[in-house]
Amino acid sequence: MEARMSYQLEPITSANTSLSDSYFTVTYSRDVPIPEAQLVELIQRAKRIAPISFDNAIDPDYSSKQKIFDAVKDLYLSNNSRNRQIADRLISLHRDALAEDEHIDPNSISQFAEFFLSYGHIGLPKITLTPDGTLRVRWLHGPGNFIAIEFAGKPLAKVVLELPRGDETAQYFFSEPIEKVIPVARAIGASFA
Amino acid sequence: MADLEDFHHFFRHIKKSWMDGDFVDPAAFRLAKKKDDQFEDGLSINWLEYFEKSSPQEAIAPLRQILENKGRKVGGESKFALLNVEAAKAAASRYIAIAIVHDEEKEDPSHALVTGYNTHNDQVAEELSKVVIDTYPAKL
Repeated sequence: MEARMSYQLEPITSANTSLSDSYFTVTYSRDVPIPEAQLVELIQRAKRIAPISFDNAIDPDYSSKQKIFDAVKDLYLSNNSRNRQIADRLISLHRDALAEDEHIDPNSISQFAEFFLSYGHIGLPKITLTPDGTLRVRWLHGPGNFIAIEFAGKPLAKVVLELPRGDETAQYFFSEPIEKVIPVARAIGASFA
Repeated sequence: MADLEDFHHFFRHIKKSWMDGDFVDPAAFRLAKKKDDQFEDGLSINWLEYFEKSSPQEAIAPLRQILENKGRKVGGESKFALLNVEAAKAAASRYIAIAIVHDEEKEDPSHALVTGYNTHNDQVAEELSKVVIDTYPAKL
């Protein structure tokens, strides 16, 4: 069935920004109806993205906000508890970034969400923003034992990997197509637990 | 610009969005790119011993005031990471020799820079993050 829901966005007040519609519509198709309680919770979480005054809103911010909404929606509706935690973290990061005059690269958001939706079985990483506005995740397993992926919003993701090798620490810095990061890293010995 | 003494220390302001809990992402120590796609001149830091306090903690309040006077946002949940000059140089030397120099500004006399790692930005950032001595909340 197709479900459609509309609700009023927080007002965006900027001479440089206009919305063609003061309502944001989410449409999705599923075989079974989404429980009302889940929808209500989703809407409440999504609305938390926009409690901040957008007096200086410009198009990149608006794009970023839309991408975050899409990412949160997709992650939250994926029926994966880890993805819900990731969605919550994304909302927090968005708020923190706005409060600190930072930004999140819209392309990074999309790539980040697609990655975690594709790999539902890997663990919950640390999730941070870089000074360049890209999302970065890191699975920490101890000193000299981690893997970090940076979602640059480009075909190649940046990877940093450290692994214990006897008394030494092997260190890798490389770029890989995002869809190959996990198999390549695992072949070297990385863990995403 | 004069080099900071090896036995001295410096702070790096860490924004909340660069952390997840107690974890500080090493990207906080990367040189940022300017609008013209060139790297900034150096990593912006603050020289601890300038404040002449008996502990790093005591330097936080005046440092925060300086940064806020410069127009920087210092969020309550952001932190200041403390590093030693000699340890930072040694850590970076795995990849390249860096300089840590006093870069006094009119409104920020403790301002300093970590320079010389444009070619190994990601690598040196990772190494610097490993020699953080401690982190201090920007606001208590």
